[in-house]
Amino acid sequence: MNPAHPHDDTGFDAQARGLHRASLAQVSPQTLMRLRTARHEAQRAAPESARSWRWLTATAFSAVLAVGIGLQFLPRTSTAPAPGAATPVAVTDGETALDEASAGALEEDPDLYLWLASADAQPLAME
Amino acid sequence: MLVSATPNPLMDTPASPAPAATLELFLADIGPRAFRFAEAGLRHRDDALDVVQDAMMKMIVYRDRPAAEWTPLFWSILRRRIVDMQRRAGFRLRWLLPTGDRGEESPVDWAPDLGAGPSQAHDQREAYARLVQALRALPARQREAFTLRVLEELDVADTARVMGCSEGSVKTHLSRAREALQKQLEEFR
Repeated sequence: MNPAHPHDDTGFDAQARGLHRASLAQVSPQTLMRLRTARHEAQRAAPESARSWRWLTATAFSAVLAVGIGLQFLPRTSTAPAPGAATPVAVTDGETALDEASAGALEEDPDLYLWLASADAQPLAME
Repeated sequence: MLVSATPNPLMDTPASPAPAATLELFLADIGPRAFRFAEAGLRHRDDALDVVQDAMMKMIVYRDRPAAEWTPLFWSILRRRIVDMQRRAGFRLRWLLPTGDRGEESPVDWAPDLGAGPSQAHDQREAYARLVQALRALPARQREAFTLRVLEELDVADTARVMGCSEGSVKTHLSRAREALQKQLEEFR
């Protein structure tokens, strides 16, 4: 430590480090005992937490498996439709086709855009 | 001079960079270091031991990480525990024990003088107590930077990881810490 050279810190650092190492060798036996106990308790707690994670994983996996098996027994509506359900499906298909046709017509008809730009369409838009 | 005791050549060798073989060995080695770090930050021996135990318990979760990562991980965990404890202690002091004796600092933990050289041990203890007093007078970030970077010899990158800041901030804190410590310890001469 030399106050005349504030940037020359190696001496100061080395002294502080040496003192720190000396202090590590002088930790009291009671404190060392507490540290040892803390270490052992931490080690003992570790397998318990690992076991609990294994149980949680096993339980979650079993639950997923049970749900998967249960789904196998449910009736499949999409692959085997009931006879009464055929008409609505057909209607739905028809409506979809109609919607697509009208949408196509609107896209292809230039008169629609001319009418939209004309003065006739503005009162309708005000309503 | 900061240290008046005769320097021990074995103590001047840098800390071994080789990672510990097992987490048990790692915790056994770092335990006293962690205690000294916490003791300087918390001022109470029992609080320091509590946070070290908490950090060890938490560290077990990361036992599967590569051993090279254990050191910065552990210091990071311990630092956070100390900050939490300081906040709780501050709350207790402000609201629950305004005139209690919790504000008094514990003396530095030191083994009783046994065997040869009691005066040398006494000198070391006095010198270390002065260093700890000076460290406790520093702002927390400066104390952390000096302890981790200089005393524990972590590199700048690891110190930055532990402190959760940039490497430039570490250098700034360290520079200010050195300046303040040199000034304080000079006054003790």
